[in-house]
Amino acid sequence: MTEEIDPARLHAYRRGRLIDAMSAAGLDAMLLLGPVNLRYAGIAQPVADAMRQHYEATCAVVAATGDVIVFTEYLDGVTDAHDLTRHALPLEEPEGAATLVDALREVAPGLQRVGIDEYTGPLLGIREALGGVEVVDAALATGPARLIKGPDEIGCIRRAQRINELAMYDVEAALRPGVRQTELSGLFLERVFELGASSSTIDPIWNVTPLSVAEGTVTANGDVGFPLASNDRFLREGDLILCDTGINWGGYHSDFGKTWICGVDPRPTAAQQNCFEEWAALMRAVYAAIKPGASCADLVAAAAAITPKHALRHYYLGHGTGCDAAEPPFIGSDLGAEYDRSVVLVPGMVFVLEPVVWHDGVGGYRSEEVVAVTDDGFELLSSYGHTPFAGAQVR
Amino acid sequence: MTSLLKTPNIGTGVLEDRDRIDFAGLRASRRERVFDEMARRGVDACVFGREGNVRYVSGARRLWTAGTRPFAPGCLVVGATGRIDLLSFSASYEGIPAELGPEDMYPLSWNPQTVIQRFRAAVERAGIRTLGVDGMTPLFEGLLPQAFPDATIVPFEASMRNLRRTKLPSEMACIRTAVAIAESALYSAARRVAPAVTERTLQGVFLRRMCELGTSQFAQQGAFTAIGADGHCRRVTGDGALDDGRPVALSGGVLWAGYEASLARTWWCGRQVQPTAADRAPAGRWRVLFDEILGHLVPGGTGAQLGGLLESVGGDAEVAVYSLGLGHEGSIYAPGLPPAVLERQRLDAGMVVGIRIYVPGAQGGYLAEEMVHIGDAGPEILTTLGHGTLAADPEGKTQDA
Repeated sequence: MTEEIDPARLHAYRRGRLIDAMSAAGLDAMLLLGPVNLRYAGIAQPVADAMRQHYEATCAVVAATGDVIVFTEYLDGVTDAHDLTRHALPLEEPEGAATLVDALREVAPGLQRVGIDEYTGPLLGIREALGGVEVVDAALATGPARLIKGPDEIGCIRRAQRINELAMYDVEAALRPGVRQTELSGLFLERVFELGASSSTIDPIWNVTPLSVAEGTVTANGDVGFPLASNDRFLREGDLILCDTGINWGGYHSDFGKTWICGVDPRPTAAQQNCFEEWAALMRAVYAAIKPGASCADLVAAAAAITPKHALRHYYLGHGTGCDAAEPPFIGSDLGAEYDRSVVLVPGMVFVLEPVVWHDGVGGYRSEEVVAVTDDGFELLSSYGHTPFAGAQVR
Repeated sequence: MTSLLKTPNIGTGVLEDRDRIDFAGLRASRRERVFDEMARRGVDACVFGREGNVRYVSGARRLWTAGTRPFAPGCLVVGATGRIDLLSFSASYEGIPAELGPEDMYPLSWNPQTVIQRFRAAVERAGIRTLGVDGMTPLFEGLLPQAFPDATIVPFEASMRNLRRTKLPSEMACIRTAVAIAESALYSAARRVAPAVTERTLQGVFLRRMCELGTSQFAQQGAFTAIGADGHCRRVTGDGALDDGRPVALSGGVLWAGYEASLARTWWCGRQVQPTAADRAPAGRWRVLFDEILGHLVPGGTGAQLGGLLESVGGDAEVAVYSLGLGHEGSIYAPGLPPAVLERQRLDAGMVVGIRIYVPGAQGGYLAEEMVHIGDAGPEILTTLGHGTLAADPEGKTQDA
């Protein structure tokens, strides 16, 4: 599998899919505010906390003809030389909303149907401002476009995953009694950026997990608490750690979750090892079911055949990943069995499998494995082993 | 307690010292302000999706993720009952303040109908005629009326932003702590500036030091970039290594207890090559501009006044002045903002603003950002970190010492 990623080819692929999807959805234009959709359209912005980014917003209007106007202060992030660029807009002010209405009419004269991914307060009035134009969710086009990844997109995810994993080797070695959660986070962040990450996208999780639900933190749904936000808490001998980290490379996400044990000489108990073995059997069954034409319900059934209660209630089998850390398809989620049956696997779909096997009183095992559907099966984009339960990755 | 609150170096790891900030009182004050504002505007309930608003009204410390997500209900605030229904990512009581119990939380769901059904079941909906929101998607525009059939939906983000702009004393203590962390983290990166060090190394050092000081949540992951000989200052850290004899822009921001501190400096990267007068010139212009802007940061001032000032003295400098607190709270001045918007941006006592100035030069440039608290008596500069050799006169004495 080649590691070559061609940025121009990647951009052409995504723009092409976006325009095709707009045509299929009958959209004359789209107004995009969401950084994930913008990134897919080839418009990047510096990564910041959400609270900051709302007020340093980039946005764009995209016409079905391919004409694009980008409103941004970050010109380096505009991939396509044909896109027009203008000053960033005050999206929280009526003047900003008015400019966007004008821009939509400018790129798409005769506009009849427009997709919008989100509104700010002043944009709540855009229906009235656009007169008889039909306003629908831009996800009608961005969803189908983003669902099937091209080879360059999969290359980006593969690279993100590798950077994430390389950093986690250092973190796992540092997971010893007395280390603070924030120390592990610091080591992780330093390493991923040295290795070339574009950003870290989630506060690294080092979830100290009780061996039984009753011993753990109170939860609204009666499950074991996860993911708990990290702080300067320090870890102790025998702590069962469910870790979860994610980074972005070139606009695409990794997803890394493992179950580790904090200890001078970390070793699972025999009962904990049994949890892992059951998890491994479950994953082998799911892997055997992954092929084009299978549905998400087939994967859920394969998991349930090994472990009827393969998940705690609020856990699920998997979710898609790409420009967003969690995106369709969702597998075994509370969207329900009918949704699972409706999603048929197609080459180019990428998702993260993250089942949990839980034996109350013993603890559990959770690991996240990133999978790309291929013409004849799947490719594992993750490669990390399962220490201290097993050295080699379950395949 | 109040006298100690101005101490910026509250050790974040010392639990006893942490009690110097009365978080329970802070949460109660913030919540009360939100309910008062809702009553003043005749808004019966609010659904917030933005983390800053959710945190302001609920006090919850939830899982942090980078970047924005499309609007989805993060909490429901009902004026008549004083109740807050909160989305908890972990469904867990950890990170949730004592005044909210497990019955006040709802877990993360991929199915938007789940939260709509909870709102339908849990809320006395009859009295809710006006529902404030801080964002919206076409999806929830269709779904929210199912839970609030009698309600008119109105925008409430501007109200929250304006409310949040004026800081309570305990908020200032949090911001001062965040400033101390951000400065220490940025200086750690500055000390590593040397030829052959990569920009990414600097970014890594900044974030690691931030974590060592007690928070792993960045407000902006920062940009650590060599300023080009053409005067271009990149906004994102690159893959390259530093050359001998270049100015290097260092910027970043951290969150502590949700409150943001951001700052920037420009450090000279040179072992054999020392800065010339032309290399130093932008730093001198930066100082003049900053002092001019500082003089205008008084209660009653407006973004339009800053715009007028910059029109006469700003030249080709890039300037942004914005409110800071639980994150970015909107621009006071930014390039390209319409005059009517600038006119509406009012400076009030109790605000904290970030002042970011980039001065391009003939062969480089100078970027620095400071944070300022606008007091009744005048502006107080919250950031204390020195400016390094580019801002020093050739004898080595720093201008701001």
